[in-house]
Amino acid sequence: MTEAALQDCRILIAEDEYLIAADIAEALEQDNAVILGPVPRVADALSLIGSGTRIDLAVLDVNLCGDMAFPVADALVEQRIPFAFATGYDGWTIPARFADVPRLVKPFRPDRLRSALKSLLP
Amino acid sequence: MGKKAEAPGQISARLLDEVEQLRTSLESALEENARLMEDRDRLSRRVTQLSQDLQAARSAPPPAPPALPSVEQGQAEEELRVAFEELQVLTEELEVANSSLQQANHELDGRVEERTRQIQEINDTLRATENSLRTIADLVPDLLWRSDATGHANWFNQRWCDYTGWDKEELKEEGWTNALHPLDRASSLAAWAQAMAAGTVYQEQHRIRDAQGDYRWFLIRAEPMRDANGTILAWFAAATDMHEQRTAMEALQRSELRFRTLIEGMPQLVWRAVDSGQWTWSSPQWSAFTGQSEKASRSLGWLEMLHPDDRDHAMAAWTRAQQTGSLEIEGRIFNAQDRRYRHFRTRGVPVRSSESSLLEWLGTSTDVDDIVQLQAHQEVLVGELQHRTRNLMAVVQSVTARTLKGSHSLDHFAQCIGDRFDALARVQGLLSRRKGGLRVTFDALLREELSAHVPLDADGRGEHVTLTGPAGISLKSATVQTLALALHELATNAVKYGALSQPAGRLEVRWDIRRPAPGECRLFVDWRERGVSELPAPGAEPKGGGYGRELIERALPYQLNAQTSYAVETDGVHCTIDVRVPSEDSEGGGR
Repeated sequence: MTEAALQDCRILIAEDEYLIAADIAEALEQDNAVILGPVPRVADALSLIGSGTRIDLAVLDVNLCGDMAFPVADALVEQRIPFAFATGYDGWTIPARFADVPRLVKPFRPDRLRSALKSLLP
Repeated sequence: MGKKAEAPGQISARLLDEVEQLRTSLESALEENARLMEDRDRLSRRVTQLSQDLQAARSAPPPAPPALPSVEQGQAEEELRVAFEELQVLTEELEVANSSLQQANHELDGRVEERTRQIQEINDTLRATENSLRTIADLVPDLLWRSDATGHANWFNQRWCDYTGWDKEELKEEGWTNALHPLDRASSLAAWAQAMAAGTVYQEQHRIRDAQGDYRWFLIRAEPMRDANGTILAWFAAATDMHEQRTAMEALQRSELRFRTLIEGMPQLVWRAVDSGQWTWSSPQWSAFTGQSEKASRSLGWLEMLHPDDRDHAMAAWTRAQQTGSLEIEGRIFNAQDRRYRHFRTRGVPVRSSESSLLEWLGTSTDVDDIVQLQAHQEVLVGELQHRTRNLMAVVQSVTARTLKGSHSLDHFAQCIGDRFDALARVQGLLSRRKGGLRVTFDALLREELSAHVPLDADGRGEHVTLTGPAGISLKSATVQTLALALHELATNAVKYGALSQPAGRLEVRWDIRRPAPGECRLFVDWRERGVSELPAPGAEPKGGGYGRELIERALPYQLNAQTSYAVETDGVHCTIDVRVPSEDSEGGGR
């Protein structure tokens, strides 16, 4: 079940629903990943990215407390941090510039999250 | 009639005059001749008398010797000789006069004969011309008639009789006016009288009754015929059947009126164009909507009312339309009244002649702004629905996993998960029952949750419950679900282990609005249970498995930025929630 590739991987979780964020964090902690966050808001995510702390991967909910998370996605792209969208939206709400970003459609099982994140690693 | 037609008549009159003159001079010549004859006869009779007298004188006995003539005899002979000479002169004069008379007479006869022949020829020509004219007059389909200078009709062609079924006697004078349509008669006769008084051309349209009693429209034109001095001699009139043209024109006018009424009554903006979008006309609705005049919209003027970003697209659509034969443009058109652009769907079709050559384009622009807005709104709603539904599924998944962790038996799990799904279902119900963007209020949420466990009256009182706080405090929709789950866990724990599980237990919930800073509005909730015994020891595992506390102490601060406290005091649970809510003056709706 666990994914060794994620060992010590520093993963940012941006997800506004507490229960979902907690589940993602719990699943990834089982893989011995280091969880950054989780953060529920765009501003929180941006300040974390801008803090200079090392981020290896990110899981990003498209809608964070009513705001679209695309500024966060742009910041991640700028920092060359690979990430996946976790979303309840269909693809059409996501701008074309993020066409190559993997999407995890909610609800998803921890296995799918793990394989999606693993595929992002170099 | 023209001048050429008058000439034979004038010639005829002139010739008749000449013949009359000749006849008069002939008569006077004959009288002169008779007078000369009388003179000659008188002289002749005198010569005879003198001759007889001389004879008588000679036969008497000679009174004197013959050698010597008597004086008397000599005188008589002399007288006779003179008379005889006179007679001879007269006779010569007479002969000369007679001869010239005969010559004159002969000439006169010749001239009379010549003139008579000319008159005959002219009469023949006139007769032939008149016959031709009558034939032509009866041949043409028009109704022709003539009246004298005072307007009394005195001649009609055969078509009049054929058309009206009346004979020429019935038509004469004013008779023909009885065939006019009663509605046209007065105006027609007035115009007729006016034309005659002024001597100007008469031209009117009116209906004339046919033999079957049906009326047909005619164009009537009458012109005066004048002599060399300009005096009107007669009027010639022609009525041309124009019934088909007139009725077709009236039908066309009605059709055009219907078309215009339709076009000006429809909500669409209608236009006509040629070539590649060169407008030639726009309906009044265009001007009313855009504020641009009809004239200014012509050619490519309409383009100015289009949103600048849509203009290239519109012109490209016109270029495409030349090949495809149909035009479709989606573009925003400026609305003068609202000072903003509205979405329009513009469609055009080519109007082709019967030879299928393209005459022009006819098109409409339909306001689809409301639809476009609704579509956009719907897309957002569908997106939101997907988002919420899938988030809810994820929450259900998570709640299930947590409940499973906290359950010591499958029955316990079934009971707990059932209660939690009910709580989720209630809050979904509250959210979906909202009308027109109204928010869910805190009192409604609290009452909905507590009512599922204990009976409450209209004032929010129950046997063990007191609710105190203002009604109508709106909650952000994103807040509602998590808050509801937290309240559910508090209520469930109270029912199972707390104030609502024991006869002495009391639950009091107080809430209020606080404004710590301008524009910031916070809801403060105080959940206090009292009179509860058998409380768990401090630090012991919570009886509910800790899920409720996690929601209050971690989920609410994380998700809603709330400040919360949860404590088990000596006689019951005390929980506070301090969460931001929309200020009362902010707009409703939201997420």
